[in-house]
Amino acid sequence: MIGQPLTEAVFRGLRDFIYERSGIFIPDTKKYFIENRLINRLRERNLKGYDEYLSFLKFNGNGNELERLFDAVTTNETYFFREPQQLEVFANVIVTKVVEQKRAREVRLWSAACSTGEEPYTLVMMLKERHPGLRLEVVSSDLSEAVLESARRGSYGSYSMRNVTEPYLTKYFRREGQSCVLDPAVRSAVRFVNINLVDERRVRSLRAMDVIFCRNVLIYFDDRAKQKVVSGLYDVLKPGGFLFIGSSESLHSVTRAFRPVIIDKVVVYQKV
Amino acid sequence: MTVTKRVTRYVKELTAPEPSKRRAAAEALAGADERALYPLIKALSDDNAGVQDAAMRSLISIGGEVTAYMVLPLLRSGPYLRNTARVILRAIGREAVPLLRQLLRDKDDDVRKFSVDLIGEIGWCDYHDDVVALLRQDPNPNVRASAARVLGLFGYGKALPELIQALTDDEWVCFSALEALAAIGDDTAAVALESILTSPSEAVRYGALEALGRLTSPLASNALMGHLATATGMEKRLTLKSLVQAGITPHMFEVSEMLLDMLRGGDWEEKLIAARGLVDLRDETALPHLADVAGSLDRSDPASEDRLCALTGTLAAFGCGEALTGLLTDPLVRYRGKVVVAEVLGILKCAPAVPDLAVLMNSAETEVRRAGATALAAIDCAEARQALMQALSDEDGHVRTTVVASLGRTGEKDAFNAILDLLASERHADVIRESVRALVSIDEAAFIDSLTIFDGPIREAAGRWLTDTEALLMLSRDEDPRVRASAVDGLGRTRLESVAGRLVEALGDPDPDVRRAAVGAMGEIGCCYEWILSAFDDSDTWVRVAAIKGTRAFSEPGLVPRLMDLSADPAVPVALAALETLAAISDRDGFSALTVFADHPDPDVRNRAEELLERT
Amino acid sequence: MKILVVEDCPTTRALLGIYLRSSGYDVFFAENGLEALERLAADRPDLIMTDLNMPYMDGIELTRSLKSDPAWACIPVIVVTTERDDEERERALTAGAEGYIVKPFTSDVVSEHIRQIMSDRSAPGGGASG
Repeated sequence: MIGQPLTEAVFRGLRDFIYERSGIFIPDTKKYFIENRLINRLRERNLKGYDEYLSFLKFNGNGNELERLFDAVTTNETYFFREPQQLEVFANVIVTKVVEQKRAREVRLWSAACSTGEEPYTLVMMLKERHPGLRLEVVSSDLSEAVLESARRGSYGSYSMRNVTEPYLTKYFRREGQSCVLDPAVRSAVRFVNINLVDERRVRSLRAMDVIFCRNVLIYFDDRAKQKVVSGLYDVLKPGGFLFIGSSESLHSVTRAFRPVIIDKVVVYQKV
Repeated sequence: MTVTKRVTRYVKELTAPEPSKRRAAAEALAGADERALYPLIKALSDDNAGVQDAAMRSLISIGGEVTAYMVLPLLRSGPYLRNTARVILRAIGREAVPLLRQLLRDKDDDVRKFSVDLIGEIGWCDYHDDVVALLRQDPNPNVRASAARVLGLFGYGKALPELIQALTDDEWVCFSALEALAAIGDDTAAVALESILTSPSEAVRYGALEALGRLTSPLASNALMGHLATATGMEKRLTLKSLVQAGITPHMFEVSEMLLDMLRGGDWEEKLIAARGLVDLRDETALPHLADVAGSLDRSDPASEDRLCALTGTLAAFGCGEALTGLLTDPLVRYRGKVVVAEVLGILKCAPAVPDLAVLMNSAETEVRRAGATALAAIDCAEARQALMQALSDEDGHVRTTVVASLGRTGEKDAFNAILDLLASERHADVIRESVRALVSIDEAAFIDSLTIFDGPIREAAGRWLTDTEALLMLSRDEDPRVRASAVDGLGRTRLESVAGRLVEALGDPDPDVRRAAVGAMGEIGCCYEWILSAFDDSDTWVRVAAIKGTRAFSEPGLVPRLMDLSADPAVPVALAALETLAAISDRDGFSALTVFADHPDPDVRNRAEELLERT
Repeated sequence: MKILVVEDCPTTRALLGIYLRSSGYDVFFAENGLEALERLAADRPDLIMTDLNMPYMDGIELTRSLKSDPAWACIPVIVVTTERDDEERERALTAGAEGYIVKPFTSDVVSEHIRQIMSDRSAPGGGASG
């Protein structure tokens, strides 16, 4: 059914195309991985070869397939309350600082590369518990429409729920068969938008954020793409605003525009 | 004109009162011309870190020799500017290297050192001997040390005599020279290295030990073995490390213990070396620790992949025995470690492990069950399949996919009804696909009988896997166009001329995917040539592309001119497909026909045409 | 005793690691001032030894940053400089560094320096303000 294996030339073509469109860099060692992931895409699209697939990607108007490709290529399986120490610092300290700085009980948050929504929803739930009455504006973005759709639905399986404890479990979730559905009040508090982090124009459509979460996505980029993305995040933040990245990630050879601030053993970056 | 105005405007805004404006201006000057250079360099000293950063990045993006030339003087400034200049020059890369050459003779020690270091970081140079001269005779030891280090980075073997000579220089220079000798790995250095193993300086001994580990000569390994006997503590450990790296793991009493220490407490380089050593010794007491170390890797981190691969290989090398399978029930091994062990047992197709793997399928951890399912599927004996059957209703989609795929491959009759039941309420796309595939493979007729109760996605999957012509014909008339397309595609697989009539009908389908499948099927069967040609005029790009590819099966005269006509098709994929097909059916006529594409408006098409023409 | 070594050259890091560990100190590393600030989150050193010349944040800026933050100001800082001129050393001391050391140096020299600085701190009426 599928004629030839993935050749070097087509792999390069795919790799460059993906990099151009998303900043995601696929190293040579992942060629086999890509080959496997794409077989199903080819079947679904009734294409006979990887070269046809590349052609289809490049010239197919609606960009729908590109999103499916991104999905296939990033293995990000996420869950609620990921990296709880960071979340504690956010809810207990950062939000208070932001409110003080602004002299208003309002916070604007952006969860960048939110995948299926666990992160932004976690933030909303925590704020509802710790800072009731706080006005929230939460934007959440990803570059795959399919994944955003799933996020909007707010229905989750056991892997996503692994870290959810009381009071959250009872207060904000409802069992439906094998899934857990999130409370509509939490779902409606998040606005999901399709944003590709290397697309400057789209990133710039967001403004004046107080806090940005961009966790475990910079690892997919090479240095150049990382610099570009981080620069975009900087521009979207208000002066004095805060950035959270994955606890195993660092900006120390990416930019000097952010200052690392340490709170309770957690590194948070501030736009000074 | 407009470009000039813009540069002028942005340069002006570099002095605006608001930092955000200055930063935007700095960013906007990325890729500008040389007029932006001096203002951007000034902006590096802006008060605001965001502006500094943007200026730096823009200078890098302008790049080139002129930028390098103008940034060079900053190497003499204060710490912040000189170090920012280093970042910029490094990013500019090769074009900066010729300019650095004269700086190797600068009167400022720091400038000479920065220049050598930069050459090393950039990674390219065409005047290595100038660097060797620095090693030989620069008055400043920091410069000599940098020279040694950089020669090592380049693997510049010709510097061997000077590097060996440098072993008698200042300690820092000696240490750098030792690193360089390790990188170059030339056995000629063995004698000199052995002699400094008795140096009073610990750092020098350490450097020598590392370097000896990279040499292949017996002299080097003997020196290391000798040293192992007399060294203590950290030094002994380092000696062992070098030996293992050189492929020699001594079977001595404390070696096993030392390797275990390294495995548990060392950095990743040491852990992997220790793992190698422990495999060499076939030390089974190390197994639980190896499993835990492998399990501790964060799989979402791309850096983990190589490490996981190395550790999996290490575990596999112990072979399918009780020591390895026992890890599955060892309470001291954490669940992530068990995941890795399960993977390894699957790779080894270790049948005795099946009962313990089956127990994993009851784990609360999804990752454990996934690994268990994959391993059982790989082992694929009767017992394994039994265990998998129990897991058909697992709540995790990946587990169900693996289970179904495995049961399907083996044609397990008992599984048929269970999979059919599963399909009735299944939503996960992968599971649907594998279930249909499995059912078709186990009992196609029975599956076809049950088709009517299923909805679109399942009927579509059916089209992909069914071989029964009647069933495919039926599905090709389904109300859902995706089902029709999938079925028509399936008809192509039958290779039966008798379906030609249906394919011709399908060519008139309102849905382009169905038409595309029809054309593709015609090509596969090798029928309906005239109809395929007629699809050259289809309104949908991808139908036209499929039609072009479909003609490849035929060697009809008159095809070449039709393909040449397609050079005027507005859609690029069509032109490319025509090009490829002309090249594929090539004879002299085919190749000269390619030239008509050489003037195509789209650059991708022109490039491909040139490439193909060059091949003739 | 734990020492944070901030240095962008891997060879120098390796060498300093050997010197300090053989003197019995626990050592961890950062590649530049920014990474040093990040590393402070997980690990609190008793002393910081920083190179002067590093990209993104050099040793002077790091020292100033540490000394202006009450959480870290009391950790002694030694700046490592090349023997350029007095200006450089003045800069280090003005920024608040407790000491400086000129490279290249031997293992004995650096441990003596460290001993001196640590004992200055514990001497009555001496050392940096807490």
